[in-house]
Amino acid sequence: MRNLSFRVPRGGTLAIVGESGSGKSVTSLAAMGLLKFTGGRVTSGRITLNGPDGSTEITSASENVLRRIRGNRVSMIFQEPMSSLDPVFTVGNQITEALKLHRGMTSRTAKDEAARLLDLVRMPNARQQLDRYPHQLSGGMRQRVMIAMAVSCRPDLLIADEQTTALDVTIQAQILQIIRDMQAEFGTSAIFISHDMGVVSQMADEIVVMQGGRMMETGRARDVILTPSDDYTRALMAAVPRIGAMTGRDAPRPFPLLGEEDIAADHAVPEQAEPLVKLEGVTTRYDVTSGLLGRVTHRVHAAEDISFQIALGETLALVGESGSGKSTVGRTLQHLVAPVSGWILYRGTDILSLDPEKRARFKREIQYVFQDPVGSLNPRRTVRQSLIEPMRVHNLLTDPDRQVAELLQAVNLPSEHADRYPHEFSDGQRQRICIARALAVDPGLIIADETVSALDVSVQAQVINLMMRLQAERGLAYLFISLDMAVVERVSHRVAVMYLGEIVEIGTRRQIFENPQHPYTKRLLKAVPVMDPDTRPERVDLSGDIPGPVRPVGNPRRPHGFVEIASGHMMADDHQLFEQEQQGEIQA
Amino acid sequence: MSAFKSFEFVAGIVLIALIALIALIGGAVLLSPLLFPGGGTAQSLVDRLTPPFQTWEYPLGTDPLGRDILARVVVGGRVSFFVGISSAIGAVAIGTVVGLFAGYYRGVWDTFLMRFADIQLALPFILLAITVIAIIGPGLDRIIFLMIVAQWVQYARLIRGSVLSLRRAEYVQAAQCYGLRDRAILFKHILPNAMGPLVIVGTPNVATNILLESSLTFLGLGIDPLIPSWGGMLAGGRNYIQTAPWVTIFPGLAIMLTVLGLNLLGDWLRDRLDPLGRTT
Repeated sequence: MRNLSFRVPRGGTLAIVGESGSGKSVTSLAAMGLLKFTGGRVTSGRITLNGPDGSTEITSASENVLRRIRGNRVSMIFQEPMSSLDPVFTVGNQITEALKLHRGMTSRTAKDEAARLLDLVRMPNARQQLDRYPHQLSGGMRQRVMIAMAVSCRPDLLIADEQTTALDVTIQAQILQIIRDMQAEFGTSAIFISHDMGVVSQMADEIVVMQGGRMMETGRARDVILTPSDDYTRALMAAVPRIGAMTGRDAPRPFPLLGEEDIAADHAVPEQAEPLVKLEGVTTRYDVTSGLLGRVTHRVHAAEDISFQIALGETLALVGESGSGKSTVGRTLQHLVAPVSGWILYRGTDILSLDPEKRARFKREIQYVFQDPVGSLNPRRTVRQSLIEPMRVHNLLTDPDRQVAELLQAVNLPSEHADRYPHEFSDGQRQRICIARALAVDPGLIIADETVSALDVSVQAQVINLMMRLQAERGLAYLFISLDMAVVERVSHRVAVMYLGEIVEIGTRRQIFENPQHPYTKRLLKAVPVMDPDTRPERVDLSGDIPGPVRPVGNPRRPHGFVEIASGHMMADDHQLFEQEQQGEIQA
Repeated sequence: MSAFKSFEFVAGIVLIALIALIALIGGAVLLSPLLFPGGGTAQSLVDRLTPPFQTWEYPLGTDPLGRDILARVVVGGRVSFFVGISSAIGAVAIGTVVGLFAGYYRGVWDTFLMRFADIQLALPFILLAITVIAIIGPGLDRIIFLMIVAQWVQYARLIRGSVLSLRRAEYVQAAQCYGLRDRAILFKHILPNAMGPLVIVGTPNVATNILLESSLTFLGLGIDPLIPSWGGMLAGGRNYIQTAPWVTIFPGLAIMLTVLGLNLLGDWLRDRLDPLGRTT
């Protein structure tokens, strides 16, 4: 990182945006004086913290001075709520520790203050929560604890490093609201480090754009977002999926990336008589056993009575938050787990009732592309080995060299790279290799399970464009599992919204995005941060967390039917129940 | 060039030298009957407890029975090496296969095997050793068998642990998606990625087994005490450690160098197997 300078005004919010490796996090560590723990150092320049009692130079301060500043005048919220809370201490212990250390409180007053802080972050039953351990809380609740800890000493500066990236959108909206409330209450300045332009545009007054350790552009948030002057910023903004960008269009179309404007044409689904895949009443449950004898006491109702169909060349998006069962549906379709009941028809054949040998042949037809670009390739096998293996399994190997080269070309990778190992590629390239591996057996349907969500925006846009091009060229159908509504709006023909293992609304993309009916769909769409600096978001309801899909044996959720809103647009008929449940939680 | 300054390069040179040393000892193990016709058992009470570096006849001195220590170290290497390495390999092999299948398929067999492993780990080794040797009798092959029986469990647990996390790895699921057979998944995708800890735990195990053999021999449960082995020499020289330290120093040194060499070899092997090259 070199030659970076910016200032954060009191009470103001600065956002540092950039892609991985741009030096965002290094900046925040430097500001905390924590760089030396990661083996770095500040070679030149100054970081100054101005307070009511004079200014402190962080770069030259001694470790003692820094220790007094950290957590007291500058505090930080990290991305991973599980690993930034110590699992062996209760929540109360962790909050009171800083209070006793920096504010000299006694145990009793610190505990009262901790309860007040948790109340401030709208933690339900704040006082009881003090005695709980981090693993007993959900991700969103843990983030609230982190924020309570971070503001416990009334810091002058709050540094939030990708702190909502790991959260579901509705929870993210709550957390952002809480941070805004905190800033208003304490007049805290904040540095937001994020790659999510939607979040940034909602929170920031000023933006610093970084790339490869250099500052590319800085300015007022509105100017940077609406009229970027730097080429890199412009490219970045073009790649950001914006919700609402597709309003009024029937078919999805690729991102208009720089140099790729010509391919930005609509992708319509060809007319056909019979769907490629059809699911009817598919239910998948996992048993939860307890006790010595392993008795089944609870079941995870991961997917309940799922029915939908996908046509050749069509993209059906499955959206929902964590625990909604999106991945389970994908895994059931791929036989990674066996359903309890239901039918899966592929080109009219019931694949669940096939004998194992024939079913193995069907494994060719449906392929899976996973989320984690690091974990989905065996680190000990070269790209060539990884690509050849599926073809060998299905006896499709005729001319390995040519086939590998063709697959790599299909995903825009140079064929000379075939003998490299996965760690020699970037995340985006690895994801392309995974797509190539899925293509190797020439499938009809590809299940893309959060395939692009771990990628930087510009890479994400490229991979999405690639997937759409492959769809057009090969007539592939996609089951696109994602929680990023803006991406879903860009790629899908039809959308199914899942909540607690059930489909609550399904319809064409326009029907779902332009005329959402189910209260959960509306809530989900409202929570998506919009990249528009001129509209500040509405206040979000801070109560409520997503309940889990675990239910005791013999107490299943009441099955629901569907009401048809328009042709092909269906909504669960128990939506009043959903609203009651949400209300019920507020009372609890 | 700068390669000569790099730590890995220097360490590599040292390592190769040590491997050569082990190879030399290994060669000597094969040649020892020719070089030392007495086989290290010839006694000469006149020359008992000769200090090292005094005569050409006994370069490393003699023990309390006047036996040539150099000859005994070299000949003893035959037994110690064989016991140490074969028992470790046997335990690793059995433990790996059991751990792989138990971890991958889970279910009843997993529960059964792991509970069995728990029970076995609760048994003190000496108790197990006395019981097993009492039933099958002493001897070189018997104590190797005993060590394998006693030690496969730790490898099975180690591998099972890795497999439990690797079976959820997305590349394993991807292989399931394109219909690769379970056995191929286990040996091509899971095993190579689970090998790292095995090598780390396995190499020092060779050393502990060399010492274990001496304890067993000392208790009369191992091999014939007249056959020279490094562990046996250590045990035999114990009473003279104040007056004639060389009796224990040289076999001890032999064990130490062997173990050091094996550990370096293990580290090198692990790094070689890892395509990431230098892992931090």
